[in-house]
Amino acid sequence: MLTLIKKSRAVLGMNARNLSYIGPNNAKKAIDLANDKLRSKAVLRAAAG
Amino acid sequence: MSELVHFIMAQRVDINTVFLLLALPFIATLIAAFRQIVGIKSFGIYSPLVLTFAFWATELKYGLAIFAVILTTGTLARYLLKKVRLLYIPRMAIVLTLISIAVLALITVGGHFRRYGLSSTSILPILIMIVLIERFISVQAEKGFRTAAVLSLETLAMSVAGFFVLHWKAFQWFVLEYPYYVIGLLIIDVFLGKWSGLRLSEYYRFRNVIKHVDSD
Repeated sequence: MLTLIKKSRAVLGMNARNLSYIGPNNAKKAIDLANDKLRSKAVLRAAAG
Repeated sequence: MSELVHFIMAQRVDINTVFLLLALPFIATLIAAFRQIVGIKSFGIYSPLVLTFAFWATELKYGLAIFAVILTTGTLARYLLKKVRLLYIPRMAIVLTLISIAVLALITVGGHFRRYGLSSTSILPILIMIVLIERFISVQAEKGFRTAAVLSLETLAMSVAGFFVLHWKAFQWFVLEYPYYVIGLLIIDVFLGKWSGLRLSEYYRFRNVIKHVDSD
């Protein structure tokens, strides 16, 4: 039982994924940009040079 | 009964309303705990919450009967309309129409067989349940029948659990005696919101991964 809990620490569950990865790495500004085709196109074109 | 509840009731607020409004945060927290700790997903938090209160209003067996009829009619209607290419909202209007007819038929038949609890069901809980079908059908369309069925069963299970909490005498007493318990719920919600451990369901879901973790 104890080893099960210890081992499970190495697994990334949904709760930890949402809190430590999805949340911090997806700023509201970035999501808005990705949801806007025209702005995404402009930004990507500028980045492509 | 607490002084606060006495004060509120002195302003002619119905005791049922006071109880339900003070119980709602508990049900909401319960649903959050089920999702974050146990891993029972259901359709978000709104559906199981509102269904709990719909069951409260209809009595459980009638609520379940109505909900079953709504779910089957909705699924059947969606299946029948699959071949006809229609835009989403008009199609949903047809689904809702068929559901309304089915529910009307159910409560009429119920009345005929002297199930007056069924025939005298008020419109609000029925409307709540009919409106919930949209979530179910959109999940069915996007993620398939299986996922939608599992999520509805989970929603149903949570609402039935919520229904029993609402009817639990000790809970009713507690809520009206200590209405400030709601503040404690907020603290629990924050804890749940920061909970990063595995959900119980994930011990099963990731069992093969867990097995292969090198423990040192």
